[in-house]
Amino acid sequence: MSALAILAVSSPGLAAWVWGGGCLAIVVALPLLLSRRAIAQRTARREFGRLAAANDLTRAEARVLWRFGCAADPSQPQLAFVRPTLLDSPDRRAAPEIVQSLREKLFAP
Amino acid sequence: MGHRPDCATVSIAATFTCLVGLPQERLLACCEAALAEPLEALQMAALQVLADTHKANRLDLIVDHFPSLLPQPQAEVRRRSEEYLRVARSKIVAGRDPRRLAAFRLVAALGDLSSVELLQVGVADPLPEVREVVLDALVQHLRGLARDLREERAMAGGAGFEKSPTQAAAWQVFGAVVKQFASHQRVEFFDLLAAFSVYSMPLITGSILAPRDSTLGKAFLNWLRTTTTEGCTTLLLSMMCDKSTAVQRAAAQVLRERREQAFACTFAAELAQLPEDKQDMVWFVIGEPLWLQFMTPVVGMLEPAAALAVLRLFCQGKFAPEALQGYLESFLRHQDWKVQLRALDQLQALGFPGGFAAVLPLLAVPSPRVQMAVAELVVQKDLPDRVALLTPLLGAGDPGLRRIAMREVSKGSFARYLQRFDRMDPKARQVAARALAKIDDQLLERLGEEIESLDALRRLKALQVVEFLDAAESLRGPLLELLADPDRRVRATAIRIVEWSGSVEGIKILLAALADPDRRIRANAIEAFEQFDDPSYVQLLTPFLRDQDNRVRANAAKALWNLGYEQALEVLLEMLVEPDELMRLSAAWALGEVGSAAAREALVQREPVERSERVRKKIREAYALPPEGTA
Repeated sequence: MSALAILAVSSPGLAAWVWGGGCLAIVVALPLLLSRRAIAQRTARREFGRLAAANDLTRAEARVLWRFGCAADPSQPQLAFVRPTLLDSPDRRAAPEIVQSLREKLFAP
Repeated sequence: MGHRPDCATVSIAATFTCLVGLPQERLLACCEAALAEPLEALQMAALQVLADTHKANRLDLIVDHFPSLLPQPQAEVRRRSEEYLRVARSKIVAGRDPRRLAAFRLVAALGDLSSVELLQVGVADPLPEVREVVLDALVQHLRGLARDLREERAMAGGAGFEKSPTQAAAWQVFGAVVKQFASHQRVEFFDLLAAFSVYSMPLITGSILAPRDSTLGKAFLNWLRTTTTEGCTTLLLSMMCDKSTAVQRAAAQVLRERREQAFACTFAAELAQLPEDKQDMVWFVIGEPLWLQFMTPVVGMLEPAAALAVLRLFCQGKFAPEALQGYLESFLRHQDWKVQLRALDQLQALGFPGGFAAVLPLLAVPSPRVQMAVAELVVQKDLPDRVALLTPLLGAGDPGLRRIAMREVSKGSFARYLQRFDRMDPKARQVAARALAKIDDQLLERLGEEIESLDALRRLKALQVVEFLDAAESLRGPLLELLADPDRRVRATAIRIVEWSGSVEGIKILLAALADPDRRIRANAIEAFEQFDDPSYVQLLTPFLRDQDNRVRANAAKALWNLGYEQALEVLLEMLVEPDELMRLSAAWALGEVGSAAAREALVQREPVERSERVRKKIREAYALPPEGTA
């Protein structure tokens, strides 16, 4: 605030611009940081993490499964835990052994 | 040892343990996603969560996903079908639920006959898939109903019975859906009319065919013209027996266009099961020309009962006798002996106006009863080639058939033998007669008939055959009558061959024969007395040693010699030097028969001085005879 006061004394126009832009930035950034989507995303991550832990998934397996889940429905990635057919969809970044491991851990008879 | 769940069940259980902690919205989304996956364990886990009243308690979502359920979860749903059906019903009756297709599928899969009314709601649904599902389900349920009704009717012995309220309601639905044919165009409902058989008749006559030229009526008749579904013939017959002439005419019109033989066979089989008055009604409705066109080509392919029913109806037709014979003859080609016999009976009643040609091949059919009937017909009608026709039956397995064939063939052979008798030499006559006797056990009976013939020549031939066969003893009665035959040749032959001993009547006849003006009869009568080998007849025969006839005198001398009257030889020696050639000829023969040393000596001395060639020849023949006592 002191820096802004010095600037206001030395260059009142520039100080006014900085003050206004900062407010604007805050006004713009706050809803972004606190959006429902982000909240949901965080909730989904939390729930996904619990499910992954319950199924004893490794971080790599959980990451791959998360990707599959988001690709199918970004709002409900946890559905990947009940949709074995998702693992059949092509994903170049997913190592086949991890996909296989997921099948075995989650759905194999 | 307890149950050890597999890995997937453990993982899925762990997943769902976590999922139930989620907000309801996300839990339901996960459960629905799981129900859509083709993994039974996953579906089961989701189903348990959704059905749990303490957790999701959302049976409606399970109903929505019913079509994608695998067998195990489906079985779980079936286990609680009443609850699910209730949910599905509420979905259906609520109106245009976008997920109603699944509800209809569930009702179609789990519902019983009582669900037919609920399914009817979908018949007019704007969604084609819904209509498809409900119509398929209705067909299934109504088929079951038709089967039940048939069974119950059969158990009631064909009598009518009361439908249960559920059955009655389903029947109402059926009627309504049939009437909606224009919208769904499903001919399976016409097939159901056939399956319901007689129950369908009120519907057909009251709703389908009642409005003239209705689309439904036309569609139904078109279906009837082409269908091969079981029971369509029963339906057609029921229509023909209906009291409405319009319905009868419609049925007859349909029949006019049915050309398939299999259909005609089934039709006839069904017809045979109707009472005769109904059969007559069908005959009346169809009419003779159509009946001929429809039935004649398949007569040989019909079941026996059907063939008999059709045959009976044919006989009611107003056909010209020749035409009817033609139709009846087609039944002779049927494989069943009962049908063949019935056709034969009818033809016999008709009098065979068109001849017997079609009947004769039945002599070769496998049935002895039919063969017998035809064989008897051949005999009864005295067909000219009956011997040739019946000859193949000589080797028949049936004894009665063999007997008929043997009798007729023998009769024919005997007739031919008598015809050719005069052209055969004596040896051939004898051989043929003996051969005939071997194959014809009724030859003596036939000879007896011949002996009584009005024609003297035939009597004479018969007597000669009797002699060949040495059968005089068996035919003694008729032969005795021939001793008084007006024909002298017959009398003479009869006297020669009759076995006389022990017959007082015969002796009287023989005594009379001794006074017969015919020399051959007297000669034969003397020979007959010789056969008695009784010396008491010597006195009776000695007067004949002075008979004017050479043959009578020679026979008498031979007979008396054989009876022990030795002076008879003197008579023969005198005869041998008589001026009359015939006297010498008979003496030479008789001396040969006597065969004593004195007789032989006389012949030896006479031969060189005899001037007649005939007599010399007879003497030489007599030489060849063995001397007395060496025979």
